[in-house]
Amino acid sequence: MKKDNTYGTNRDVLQQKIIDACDGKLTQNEETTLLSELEQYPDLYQDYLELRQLPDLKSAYPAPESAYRNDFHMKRIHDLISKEKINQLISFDDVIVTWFKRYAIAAILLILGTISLVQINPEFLSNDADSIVSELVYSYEESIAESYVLYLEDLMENDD
Amino acid sequence: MAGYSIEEFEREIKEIYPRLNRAMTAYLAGSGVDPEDIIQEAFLKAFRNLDKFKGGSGLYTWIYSIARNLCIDEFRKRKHQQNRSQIPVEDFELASDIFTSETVKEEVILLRKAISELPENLREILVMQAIDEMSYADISRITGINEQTLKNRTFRARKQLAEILKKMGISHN
Repeated sequence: MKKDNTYGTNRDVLQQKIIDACDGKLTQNEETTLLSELEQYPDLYQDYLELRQLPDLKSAYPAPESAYRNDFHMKRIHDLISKEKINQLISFDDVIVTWFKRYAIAAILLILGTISLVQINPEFLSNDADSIVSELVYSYEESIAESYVLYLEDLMENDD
Repeated sequence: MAGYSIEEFEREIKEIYPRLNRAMTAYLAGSGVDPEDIIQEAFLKAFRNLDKFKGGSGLYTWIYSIARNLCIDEFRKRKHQQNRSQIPVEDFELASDIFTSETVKEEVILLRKAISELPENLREILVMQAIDEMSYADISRITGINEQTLKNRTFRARKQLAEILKKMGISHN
């Protein structure tokens, strides 16, 4: 009798090998080795014999049982997917309409805001003389400002 | 590996459907859950989440795992712990006449019933491994169980199946 800690492990490994043997994955030599190992485990050897005698389980469910039935159900799946595609397109349209509504509201608010601003301050869009002068005097380009001041001095001198 | 386009996915249905149908029919036999409902829902769910499929596992394995999760949800909803040994044999009746001999037909019905009597955790592995011929690597991806443990479960499943068949009086000497 083997030690308890290895006994369980060995049994697990042997069970795995029995399954490999049933699936035809062991070579002749490997199977012979397995059989000699099973001599120490008569219960597992009995299991090995019983499992080898099991019928091929695929024979219980040969495919396809009915080609006509399969075609019918496959058509149903294709129909469901087509419906799903249409639903996804509708959802896409919904998204477009929602975004359009959102942007339309934003655009209307912007237009209304601009109109209100113009109505409150009519000079908002006008180019009056003061703004032109201040622009010339306090211009970013010093040369423009200097020539304008000289021009004003000349005018004053001429008046004198 | 890239995912599938909608057109490619639709083309694959023809290949995947018969195999998935066989596996789900075996997995759900005697449960009262209609395999067709599960398969349709699985394909629809896969279609909706096609952008999430990265192609690491095969498309079949991915759809199978979706179908399996749907089955588990359905079992939970139905508090699926009925005694399957009490399900009448007629419930495993065959849908076609591909079995010419009555004896063979009868044996197939009993074999189906025996498989359905296995506990859920053993039956699902036996269906994937022995009926659907999935690799242990793919079964491991679907179930999250390592390959060695899967082989031990396959051993237990086949052993229990042999005992059930013995009780039914079916011997394959």
